[in-house]
Amino acid sequence: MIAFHLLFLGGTFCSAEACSVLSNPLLWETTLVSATPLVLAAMGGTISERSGVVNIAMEGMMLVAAFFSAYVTDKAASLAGLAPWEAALVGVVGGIVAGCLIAGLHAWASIRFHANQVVTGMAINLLALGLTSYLYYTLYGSQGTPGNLAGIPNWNVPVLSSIKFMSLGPILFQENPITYLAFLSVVLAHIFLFRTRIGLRLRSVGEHPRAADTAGINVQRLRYLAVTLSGGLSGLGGAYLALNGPHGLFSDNMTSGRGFIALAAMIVGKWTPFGAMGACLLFGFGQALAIALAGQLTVGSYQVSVYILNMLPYVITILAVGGLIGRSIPPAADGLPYDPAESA
Amino acid sequence: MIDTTQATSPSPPAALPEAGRSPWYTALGQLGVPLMAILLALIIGGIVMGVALKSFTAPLTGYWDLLVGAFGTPYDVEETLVASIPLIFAAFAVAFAFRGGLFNIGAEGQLYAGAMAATAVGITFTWPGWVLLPACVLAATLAGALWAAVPGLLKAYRGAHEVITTMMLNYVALNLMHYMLINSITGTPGPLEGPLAGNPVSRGVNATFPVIVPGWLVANARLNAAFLLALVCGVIFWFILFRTTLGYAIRATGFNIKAARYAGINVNRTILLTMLISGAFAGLAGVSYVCGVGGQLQDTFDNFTFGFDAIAVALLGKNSAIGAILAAILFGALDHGGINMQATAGIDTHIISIIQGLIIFFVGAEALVRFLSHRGYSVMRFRTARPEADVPAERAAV
Repeated sequence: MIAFHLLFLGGTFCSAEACSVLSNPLLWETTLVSATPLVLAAMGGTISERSGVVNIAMEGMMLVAAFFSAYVTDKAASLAGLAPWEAALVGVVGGIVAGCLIAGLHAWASIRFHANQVVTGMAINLLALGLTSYLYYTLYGSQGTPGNLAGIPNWNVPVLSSIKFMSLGPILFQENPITYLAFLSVVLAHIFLFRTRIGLRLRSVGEHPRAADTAGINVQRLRYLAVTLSGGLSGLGGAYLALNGPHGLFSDNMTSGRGFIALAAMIVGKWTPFGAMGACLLFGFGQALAIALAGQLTVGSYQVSVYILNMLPYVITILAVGGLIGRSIPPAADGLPYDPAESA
Repeated sequence: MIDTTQATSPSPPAALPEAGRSPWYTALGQLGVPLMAILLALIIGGIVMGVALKSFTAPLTGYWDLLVGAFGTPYDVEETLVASIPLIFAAFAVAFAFRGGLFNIGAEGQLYAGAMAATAVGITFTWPGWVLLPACVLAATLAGALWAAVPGLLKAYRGAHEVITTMMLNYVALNLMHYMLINSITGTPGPLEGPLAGNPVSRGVNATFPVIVPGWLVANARLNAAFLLALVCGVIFWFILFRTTLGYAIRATGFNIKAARYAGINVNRTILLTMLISGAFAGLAGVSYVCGVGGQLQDTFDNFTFGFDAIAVALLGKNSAIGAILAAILFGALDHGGINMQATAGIDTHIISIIQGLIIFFVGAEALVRFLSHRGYSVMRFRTARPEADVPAERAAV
């Protein structure tokens, strides 16, 4: 299914431009499109883990958010009679709220009940897949979400979008509003974590909760905040998946592993917003390159299979982790429950 | 602080769950939380069903149909076991890695590698079954181990996080399988693709596991010798971990890697070997399907998600061989019984994933289970004096 989709994209790409792959603006645009949900989820993961709560549940949070943003958009249009753009906006909010709620479940188990965060995170992924599939097939059956579902169309930034130099205008400034938000979130996450008092406290909670507690910081509350934030950001990423473009759509298991890629990006980026963003862009580039090269790359007389090309982003990530970036070290208290009542 | 405590008394035996407890007590104590987790998950799953179908009786009839579907007839019992076979192998893979302190999310990819290798051997050669079947099994074992060797080496010698590398290799394996089975754009068939053009399945393999249920007992039975192989692997799993030096090194590394290093264990080598053995188990899961009920490799193989479900099974089984087998049979029962539930009660089978997710969630959040069951039940009384092994390593050291 996904493979077919990629093939299709590859086909249109080739017919549009046959010249050098790298100078084609579509390559860079596809990079941004692939990277957007990854960046949002990776920011969420970074903030959560900086506070000391392991979050491998971005996949589930995105999936639930994707479903509910489509569902809320649908209902907002059909029941409340909102205009398409209003419905889509409400849908995005619905997705963010759904992401926050699922994250709240993870936070509640991890913080209040000292759960094994890897286990509950994995459980949430499984739960999210089951829940969305169950609701999707029960509510929409085999027809799928309505074809006229409203979406969030791309937005041309005034003036900037008409820059001709190196096609920067079309590449950077004719994107989806959520893409702009995603990259804005990187800057905001960096400022939040490294330039604000609450960010400093949040990081101290992730490094040494006992010391932070002694200094009068409410460990539990900050962790709740961080995990909920991560749910909201992943939720926006999920909403992007469902609603990006003139028409929205939800399909079964729509995230198809993007949350895990974001997790990898977070680790490759060494738990920093800009590092994670770089990893997401690298991954998005690999994906865009695979699409761009489909059917075009030949070695001798052998045409390289699209499936071999599809391995590119994953192989690039493995090489990055194994060879280039070296060891990446998580926050010291990442994954350790903190019990204020326990003696040190 | 944690490390010094461990270093001054490098005595991993203190952490062994069996030490100084009667086996009966330990068994009951270890069963308590998973059983309550299953019960709570079924209750919440029932609420979801009831709300979705707006009926009080729907969950009851649904669960009844689930139970009948899973164990109602000898055929259903047998099919439940059939469904559990790949899960058992894959859960061994995940559980074995967990014992060594590694989170092998890549059982899925290692399983594809095993399945592809078994298919390649199984369709290429026409040797008699008693030669070809072991050859397929061997090929799958090696392929799985080889696929896991990459993250093992990267972890041991480059410090690369195994969660990333194994996960990325899942997608590489998936694409490799697509490549093997699907026509290229130019129409060239994939290397393993069968004769029917455009049909992304391999030829049937020339050797399959023999069915072990006699025809007079269950007609059209499909339960095959792979199940026996799974049980044998359970013994191997236990033997390696608890009766060999390597197993001791693996458990010590998993318990506290720094302490293990101070104690003179070659940690890098242990990590690599843990991944190799783990991958071998996953490879066996692949062959258990291809040379089992599958009979061939299909491109839709990834729809089963054996490798991902195995993470849940291993966690529910508390990373023990017997636990993994029981949990896999439970998951097999849910999967097979779910078909009847959908057919008879009209409840979408995806409710099963919800229940499975909830079970794992509660297994992870033991304190939540205890909170929800108010500590009043007799089963829970066994939990008040917890075996030390249940305390996370870091806190046990404090």
